[in-house]
Amino acid sequence: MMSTRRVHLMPALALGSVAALLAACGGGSSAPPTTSAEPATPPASSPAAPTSGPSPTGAPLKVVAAFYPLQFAAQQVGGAAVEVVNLTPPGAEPHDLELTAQDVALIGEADLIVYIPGFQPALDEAIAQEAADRSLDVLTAIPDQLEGHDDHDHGDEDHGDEDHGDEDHGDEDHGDEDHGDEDHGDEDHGSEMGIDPHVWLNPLNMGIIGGEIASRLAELAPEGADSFATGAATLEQQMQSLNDEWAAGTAQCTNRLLVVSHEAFGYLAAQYDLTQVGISGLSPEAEPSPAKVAEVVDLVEAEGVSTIYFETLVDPRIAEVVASETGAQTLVLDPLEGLVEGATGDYVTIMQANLANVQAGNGCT
Amino acid sequence: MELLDYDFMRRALIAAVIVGVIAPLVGVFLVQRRLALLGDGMGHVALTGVGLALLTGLAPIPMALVVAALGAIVLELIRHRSRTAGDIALALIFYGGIAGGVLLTSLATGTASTALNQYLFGSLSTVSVNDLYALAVAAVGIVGILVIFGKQLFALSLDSDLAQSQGLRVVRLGMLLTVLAAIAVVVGMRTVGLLLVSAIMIVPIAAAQQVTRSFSSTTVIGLLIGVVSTTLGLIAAFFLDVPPGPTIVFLALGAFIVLATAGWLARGRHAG
Repeated sequence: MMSTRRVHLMPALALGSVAALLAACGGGSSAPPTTSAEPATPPASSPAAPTSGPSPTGAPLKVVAAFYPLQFAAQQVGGAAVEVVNLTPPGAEPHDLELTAQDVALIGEADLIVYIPGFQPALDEAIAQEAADRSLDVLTAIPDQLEGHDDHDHGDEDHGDEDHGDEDHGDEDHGDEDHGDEDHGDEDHGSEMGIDPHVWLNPLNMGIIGGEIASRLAELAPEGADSFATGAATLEQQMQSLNDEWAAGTAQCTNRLLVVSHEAFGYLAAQYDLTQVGISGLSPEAEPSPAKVAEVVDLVEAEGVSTIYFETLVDPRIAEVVASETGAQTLVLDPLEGLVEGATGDYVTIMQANLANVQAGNGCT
Repeated sequence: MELLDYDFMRRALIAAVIVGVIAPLVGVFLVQRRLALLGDGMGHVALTGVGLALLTGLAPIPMALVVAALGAIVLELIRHRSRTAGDIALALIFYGGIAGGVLLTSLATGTASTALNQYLFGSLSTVSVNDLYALAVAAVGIVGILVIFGKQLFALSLDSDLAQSQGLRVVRLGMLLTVLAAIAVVVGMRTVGLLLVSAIMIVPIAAAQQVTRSFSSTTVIGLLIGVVSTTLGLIAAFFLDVPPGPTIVFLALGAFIVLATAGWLARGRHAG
């Protein structure tokens, strides 16, 4: 039987209402003072909405960002001279991105599309068809890329099986038959590429991404090159100080194991000398095998881990199972793949909140 | 056994046994009535329920149950009132359910796919104590209704025309059965996953049918296959380090293949 793919929102509607919601919060949408170099911009502007102010040089450049951290970087770098649209609506899991006709049209019209290949298959396809020459693959600039399954001892077999496991969740994806085209979305994005895509969780990588965006924007609008360079430099500074905060904050921890529900935190762990243990692998939605759960339970008990981290956009069940099994507590560690609906924070404040939770959960002083 | 050292495995094992018993018990009627795909269909109708809940702010799970039950009733009405075959009626409900779920969730702005997933889908690896209660309540309800109406449902499933001529209210009985299945599916998908619950309704019965003739022996053997494949599948999944849902389904399919071959050989000897 045929099945639908994952449900998604009509972005214009969603974004419009989010903008309205944020407006209703009375300036809640503006970035906190520590991070805001530019005038407040709504997290994503509807394509139909008027732009936040034309740049001095004419119509703003249209930048499409695949998901939140890329949107943040593009906004920080481009400022008022660019209009950034985030393809993944707030509250949605970016892995699940499905494009509407309007999204594809947007990609077709955009001056620049910033994305990470292999992370959102629907977008990869759309870019290949509509905008291959106008896309910026931010992975290319990232040094020290991590392998997909680095922390996962059962590696690929495990995942191979978990692909079938999806059937069980199966119709979570709304349909078994979908697997043909859906699977790659879920589980294989790491192994297909061989590279863990979650690069943005190392703040220094965000600085690099900002630099890449600035140089591409400068090609598109040479008259704005200076302002883009300034934006990128500001972003890099912010990211440097965020990195310093994290490095200092995690220098002394009673435990360096980071037990997370899905392995999104490889770059973060590598940067701050933590060891990531994922319960369900790189994809947030693969059905965990009981053996893997048992293995994590044993590890948590053996190593005296006191906290299991779960994420904002994914069902916390699996983290709760391990926590209740071991008596550990659960805390949020936001992989920043997207903002939760109505969130008022930005990349920096969420990373700071993450740091606070890691400090509390891992006993860092 | 090492496996029973873990609370979550104990919960999974209990859930596996409950599903192994209850699902074939409902499934035997569905197979007889040519509604083998009802499980999947109802799983998708439940999506509309969650979409509706997101839109109206009501509680998702009860809404999913109500909408799935309504879908089951509509299914029976379509079958009886419009001279539509069971599989077509299922298809109509199924597609309607998906379309309704996607559309309503789109309208309920901002709350996206993951919300749907967490309301609707479980896995044996993550069964909670509350999930066990829900399963147990559903199980007791199903067994209770089967005890009360079993004979009538049996007559209905064997030959609905005959049942009608004997004065049974076939439409209402059909609705009762389908609603029962819908509730089993929604509770099951929430706790152990849709694949598991909808496959274990049908596959063990299909396997049993290969070697049995009577409804009652099909039920008993189907139930046996159901319980054995859910428990063995879970244990195998634990030791092989694979997800339990698909392992269990493959075991049940294996039983089908073995029994189908055995049945074929037996009939072959008979004929020759």
